[in-house]
Amino acid sequence: MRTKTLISLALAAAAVAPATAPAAPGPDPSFSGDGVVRIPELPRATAVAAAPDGGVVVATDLFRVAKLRADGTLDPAFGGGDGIAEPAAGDARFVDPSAVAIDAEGRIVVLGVHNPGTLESVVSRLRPDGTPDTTFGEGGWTPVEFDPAIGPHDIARAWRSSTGPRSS
Amino acid sequence: MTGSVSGTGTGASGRVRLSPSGEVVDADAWGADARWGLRRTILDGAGRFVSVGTVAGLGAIARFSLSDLSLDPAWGLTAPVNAGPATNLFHVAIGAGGEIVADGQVTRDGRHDAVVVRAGTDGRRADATTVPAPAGERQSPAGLMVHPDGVVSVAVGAAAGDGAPQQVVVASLRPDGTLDTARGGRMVVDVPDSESEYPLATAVDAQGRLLVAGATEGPSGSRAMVARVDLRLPDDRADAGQPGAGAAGGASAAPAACANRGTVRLRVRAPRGTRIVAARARVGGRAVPVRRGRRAWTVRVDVSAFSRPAVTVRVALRTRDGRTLRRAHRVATCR
Repeated sequence: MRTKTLISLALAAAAVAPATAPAAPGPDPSFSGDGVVRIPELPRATAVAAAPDGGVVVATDLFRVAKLRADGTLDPAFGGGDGIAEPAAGDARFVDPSAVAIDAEGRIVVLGVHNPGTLESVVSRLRPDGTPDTTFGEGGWTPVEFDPAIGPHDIARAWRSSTGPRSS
Repeated sequence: MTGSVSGTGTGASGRVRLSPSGEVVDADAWGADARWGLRRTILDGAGRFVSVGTVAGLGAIARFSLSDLSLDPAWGLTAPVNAGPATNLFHVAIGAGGEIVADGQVTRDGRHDAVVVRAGTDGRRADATTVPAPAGERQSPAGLMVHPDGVVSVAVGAAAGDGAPQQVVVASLRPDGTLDTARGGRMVVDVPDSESEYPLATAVDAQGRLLVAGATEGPSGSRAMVARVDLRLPDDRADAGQPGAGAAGGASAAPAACANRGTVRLRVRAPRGTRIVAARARVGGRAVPVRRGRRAWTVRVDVSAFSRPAVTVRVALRTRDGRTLRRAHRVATCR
């Protein structure tokens, strides 16, 4: 068992934690003031994931991914400087991103359906800055083919792509 | 990476596993004869994954081995388990005690009610509770989270009737099915005038706040909507960790990928001019060892068992001059 000393605490009487009144449960006012962000540039958001830095990542129709900072503003360091990115998908066009996940390296994995009528599915991966991760599949995306009548619905913990399954 | 896919066209479900470079490692389909239609999947941290959906017209929860996709024989008499009156289950989460919780929708007598289904860790029993709502309201759940005390919060798209504007409702249910008023009971997220708003997916962030994504629709068209709802009780906010598992539909909680530290030591010193005569420390309500030293006392915390990214160590000291000092310190559980 590894032991590591983290910190020394010099306790002083003044260091006693002050009591603070808890905020009432509800929409978080630290997120865009009223807890709700509406993004006119994007259609409906169909999947959401929490970013490691406290931000929020959403996948929307028309195959877009947006990154919000912890305060609810679009992250200018993501995508084309407007907080919005378009993952690679070859000539496919997503109609319904059904899931989004973030792996241990902060890469964003999006699962969706393209080519209406065939319901083939696609998995795309973005780097943390929103650019396509060209080390993944065919320049940032890979097709996943199943029975044509089966559509994809979910990603189970994409971070395991880096660590592999583990038990606890 | 493991993905679960399902559909209703053939009644089959399956899953595909991808390598980190995006190659298909293996894929399976199953259940074509049983009308399986699984929608959402979550890993339970013990090498298994749990999926919810519909089997032969009934809500179902199935548990599988992640390694070979075989049905878990320890899960119920036969998997999947009939989850009661729900006609379909949509999203799944796992509570701190390993219980599996799902949301779904019941359609009966022209009503569309949201339900929360709780299954025990062995899958032999599942109880369904209807989310309280005004008479005639149509409800469609979009995801849920489980709080550390077992309360379930579910995000619901609600409309007063067919064609009526929708609104986002977050309802928190105690294990006995009653609304948890401490978490706001049944709250409505404000919608701009003349518009309709509905949720489609949820997630839980690292602080235990519920994220709700969906759409706002009005005369100017449709646009993306994201809400962050803080339903934590004061104790939860103090810990500010991931509650249990709480993953929600169509989404992932913040990455829990970390290699846990083993034991962390915190050295505690008295203020100048006095000495410590007694000390105790707690993490999540549990006592942890405190060792007395010549110049400082040491708190030893084994963080390897915690799934949350950080924990709060609370230390209480008594000094020789009779004072009681309290201090809380955050300890990251990951290297």
